[in-house]
This record gives sequence, C-alpha cells and structure tokens, in this order.
Amino acid sequence: MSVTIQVVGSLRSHFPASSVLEGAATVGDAIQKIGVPQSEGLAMLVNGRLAHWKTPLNDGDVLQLVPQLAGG
Amino acid sequence: MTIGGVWGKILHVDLTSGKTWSENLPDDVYIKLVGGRGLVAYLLLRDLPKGADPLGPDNLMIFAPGILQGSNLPGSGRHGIGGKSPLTGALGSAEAGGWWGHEFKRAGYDALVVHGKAAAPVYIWLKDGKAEIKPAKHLWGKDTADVQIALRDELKDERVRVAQIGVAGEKQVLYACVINDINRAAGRTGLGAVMGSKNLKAVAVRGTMNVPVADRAQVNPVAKWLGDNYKTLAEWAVQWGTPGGLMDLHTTSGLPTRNFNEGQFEGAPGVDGKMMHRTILTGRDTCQVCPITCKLVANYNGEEFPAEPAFKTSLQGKVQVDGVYGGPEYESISAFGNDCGIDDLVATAKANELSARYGLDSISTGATIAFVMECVEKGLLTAKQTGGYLPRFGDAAAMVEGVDMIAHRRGFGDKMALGVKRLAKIIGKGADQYAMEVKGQELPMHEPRLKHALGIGYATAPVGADHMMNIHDTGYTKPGRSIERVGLVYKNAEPMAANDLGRQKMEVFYHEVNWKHFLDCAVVCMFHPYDYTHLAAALSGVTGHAYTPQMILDVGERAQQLSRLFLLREGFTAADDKLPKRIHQAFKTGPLAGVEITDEMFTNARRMLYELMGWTAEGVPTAERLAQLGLDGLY
Repeated sequence: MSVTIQVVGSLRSHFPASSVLEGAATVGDAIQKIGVPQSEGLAMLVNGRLAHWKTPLNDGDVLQLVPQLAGG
Repeated sequence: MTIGGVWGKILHVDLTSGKTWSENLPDDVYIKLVGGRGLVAYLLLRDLPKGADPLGPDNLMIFAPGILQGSNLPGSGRHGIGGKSPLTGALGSAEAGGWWGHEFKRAGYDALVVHGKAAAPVYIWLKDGKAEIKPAKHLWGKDTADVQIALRDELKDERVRVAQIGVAGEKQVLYACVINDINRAAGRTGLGAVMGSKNLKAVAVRGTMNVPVADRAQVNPVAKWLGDNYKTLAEWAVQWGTPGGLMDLHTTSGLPTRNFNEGQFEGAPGVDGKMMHRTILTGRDTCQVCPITCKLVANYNGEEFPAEPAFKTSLQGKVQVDGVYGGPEYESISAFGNDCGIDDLVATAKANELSARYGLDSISTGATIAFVMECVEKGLLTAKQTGGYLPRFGDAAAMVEGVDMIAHRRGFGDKMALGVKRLAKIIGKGADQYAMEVKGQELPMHEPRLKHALGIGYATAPVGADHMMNIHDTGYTKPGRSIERVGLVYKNAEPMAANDLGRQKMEVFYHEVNWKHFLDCAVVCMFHPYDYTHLAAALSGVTGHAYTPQMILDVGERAQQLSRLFLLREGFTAADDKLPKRIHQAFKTGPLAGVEITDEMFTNARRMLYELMGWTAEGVPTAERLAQLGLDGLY
C-alpha cells in the first residue's frame, strides 16, 4: 500500500517536496516513518481534506503536511 | 518586601487633583498574582466602581509589568496594560514588547495606576522613583514618532522610553491602542481611548535602579537554555517572523477572507509574508533581552520588484511606508489584506504604519473596514449615509483611506470608530449578522472552523474574541513541544484533530489557557519556547519563593477567575459566551467543506470548560474554587 506525501512551506528544508511511502496505515504512522516535523503547528490534509493523526490511509492517497503558525 | 523581583509598591497618580502617592502591596498579592493581567483584574475589582463609564474619570488606566521585568530573563521585555474596556465594557487588557516595560520597572515601581482626568492634556514623567505630571498640549495631535522625539528632547535624555496614544486615542476611537517605542502596540480592547478620556497623552520613563533578584543561580540556566535552543525551537520567528505562515493558513482554509466569508483567498500570494522578505522588508528588530529578533521593518517608496510577479500595488506613487513605524505583523497583514479581500502588500503595510502613527488596534481597524465592505456589498449602506465612502472588498485605496478616517473620526470614520457591534446597530437591516465580534471585540485573524477550541476561547475570553489567551488547535495535532509541555500536568495528552472538541481537547485547553494567562501575568513573550518548568524555575529564582509548574498554572487561573468575576459584576453572563453565527456555518468548498462547529458541539465543549474552571452551569466561579486558589481576600 503506498501513499504520496507532500510537504509545503518551511517543511521543504527538512523533507523532500514529494515522496512515496509504503506501509503506513494511518496519517500518524506515515508522519512517524518520515520523521515528525519540528514546526510550531501542523495540519494534515488527505486528498485535500482536513485529516488528523489517526486518519486511516488507503492506497493511492495523497497526504499533505502543512506547517501552521499559532500567534501574532 | 521580602520577595525578589518587585519593589513592593505601586504608583498612583490622580490627574484630577494632581496628587501622586505610593501604595505598598503585600507579598501575598505578588506571589499569587505576579503582575500583568492578574494585577489588573485585582485592582479593577478593588478600586473601580461597578458600572463605571469606561470613558469617564472613574475608570482606571493601569500599566502593569510583572515580577520578571527588569530581571533580564529573555522574553521579559514586555509589559501589560489594563482598565475597563470602552469597546466592550468588559476587561481591558493588552500587552506589548519593546523597551518601555523594562525601563518602567527599573524606575522603581511595579505598576502605575492613573485615576481621574486632567483639565488639559498632560503626560506623566517617571524617573528613578520620582513622578511628575507635565503639560502635553504641545504634543496633542502629533504623530507617535514625533512625540517620542520631542519628549526625549524636552527631557534631555535619549534613553527615555515613551508609551503614548496617537490622535486615535485623543479622539477616543473605541479601539484606539497604546503605542510604546513608536512601533509597539498594546493593541486590543481600546485602552488608548481610556488614556484619551483622561487627557493623558503619554507616560515617559527612565530607570537606572537595579531590580533585586533573589537567586540568579536559578535564573541563569533558564536564560542559557533559551539561548542554546531558540534557533531551532523558534525557527519560524527567527527566520520569518509572524507573517511567514500566511500562505500555509490559506492552504488549510484557515485564512479569514472577506470578513470571514471564506477561509481561502485567491489573492493570498499578493500578501504572502515570505514574499514580503523579498520585497519591502528592509530590516528586523527585537525587544529588550530577546535574541529571537522576530520584528519586521518595512519601507516603501515606489520600488518595483520585477522578480516578484505577485507583488503589485495600486498605490505606487501614492503612498510611502516609513519603517520608523516598524512593519506589518501577521494580524495586521491579514486584517487589512485578506479579510478585506485585498491582495496588495503595500496597502497593508501602509495601513499598519498609520495604525502605529495614530495609535489604532490594527485587528479591530481592519475588521471594521471589512465589515463595512460587506455591508456595502450587501446594499445596506448608501452614499448619503456614509458621505460617499462605499468601499468594496478588494479596494486597497479605500481601505487605507478608511484607516485615516477612523483615526481622525472624519466623516463616516466617526461611526466606524465605534467598532462593528455598535456600527451594526446603527446600520440595522440585519447588519449584525455580518458583525464578526464576541462581547463587542472584533475577531482576530484565526479561523475557528479550522481550530475549534480556538473558537471556544474566542467565546469565553474575558476581553471578547482574542487569539493569544487561547490555544491554536494545530499545535496539538502531532507529538511535539506543545503536547510535551501540557503533558507535564495532563498525562493523557496525545495528538488530537484540529476540529476535535471532545473532553481531551478541553482538558488540554484548560491547562494551556491557564499557561497563556500566566504568561500575561509575568508578561513574558509567547514566542519564547519555554515550558512550565523553565518559568517556574525563573520565577523561583527571581522571587526567592519556590514555584512549581502547577503553581505557575494557578497564577494564570487566578487571573482568569478574577477577570471572570469582573465581567459578571459588569453584567456579562454565559449568554455572552458565544460565537458569531457565521462561524457555525461550514465552508462549502475546500479542505474544510462541511466541517462544522455545531451548536451541540459548542454547548458541550463550553459546559466542559465551565466544569474544568470550577464554574456553575451559568458560568459563575464557585466560592469553593476561588477558595482553593487562595483568592479569598483578593476580591
């Protein structure tokens, strides 16, 4: 089972812009496999819709990791 | 005084009689409330008559740094202010960075309380324990930069720091703010109008006294830790400052657009904070004892940036932006930009400059103009009513003109100066459905439909809608510093969805909002990545009194409880703890399509919060909780 992981913004200095990942059952699994980003906040989109740590992943899904600011 | 970090006394100045006097506060007040918002709420309950007119002589104008100011702890270069808010009638409470707070503390008092009203414009001059009331007629009407220069000249000291109102505060715009160091704003809740109503133009300070610190050996490791870690843990602030995340909020539908009609803005690249770094950003700036240097300085004088296709302005040749007034932070860019449907970075920078020049809260100003734009679009306003001022979403020149009109209360600006709640009442015809406010304060530029607990925070904060004494749910969606921090006191902390409003989320909210209020009592910068143990150690070292992490959170909770008692006394009830209807309407497209904060979710979450706060179902703090917190005798 493979999913595409895309990262945007400042995450691109720590991760490839796009990569393919095998064998991650949930969003949380996928993030732990590539390494949890250090950003202030994080939003996860699966196929363009808001998801979360426990959202299950299906073959062919696109997971987007978007850093989020939190104040100011 | 037996604890370190404080002088043990606050300065009172009565502008009606011209008298000044010193009041000794007992250790107990400092230990339990620390300063900032806690001290403000305590003084308002104690000394402000119930039902006082916020623009009358009975209101108090309070300047309240906290125990940590003057200690040289990184992040302590801030101060708080307070009073009864003329915008909301609820708690007025705001903070700012820069240099003034540190200087004030070194001038020998822990706080300043201004009473009454001067017969003519005055300023207060405080130097090393000695206070004078001096005439300020010659400063009235002048821009904030000119006033600071004039005061340093008059007082013959280039190191004088100035907190002041601009023309907006003089004219009592209900969301006028207090500016310090020319470009720092204690922005929200309209305390600039309180100063204006007292004929108080400025408070100039100079302090060379050393604040006693009980045990530097406990403070130094905290400072060293910050120095060793800020470059990674506050990387976003170091590299970009606050606006760096604007495009990312657009991506997740968290970017307030056209008065919160949408969460994504097609013009976002035109106000992208990262693009600002490649165009009008000319420098960075910092505050007292801060290595992070998050602040932005923007200058514009007609330059072009052909390498930046998204950089376009309709104001070239028409405006200049003067970097002496700093540069636009995220909230300012967002309120004047996307919330007004404007994709013109220069326009937002100019509006921000005017906000600092004239002393306006940039959030409420932009939000009010956005509201007016929607009323125009919906046909609720005529040229006759507004003297011809009919801005539509996207009109950059009209937006900038609106800021100037509001500051000077010129034409329709006189009514815009009242804020969206009162303005909606004046307009009628259902305009209130477009008024994005809670308790009369305009919503800041964060979208509760993405961050659901943030929405609970908007509804329940003692100042009306506020994004800082609040949590941002996206900080708790993954393992990391936020979850680790709250995990110290809440063992069940684990990643949660941004749009979750269950029990776990509310428990996290409870602890972390207590932490935020503590930070506004100690008045420490929220961009410093401290956790509870760091500041427990720092506070222990400065005072010589042993604080644990839970005691730190208790300080924050006391500020919340006293603030809540103030609101209840002034007539607010649980019915006021609500969100604008629009926020309950799910977006129809994009990442948040169909994601809704239902009435049931909201009511359940609010009920859980009341329980966690020790409030009744009507949102009233129980005597039991107040006693548990050691508040008996303090209200």
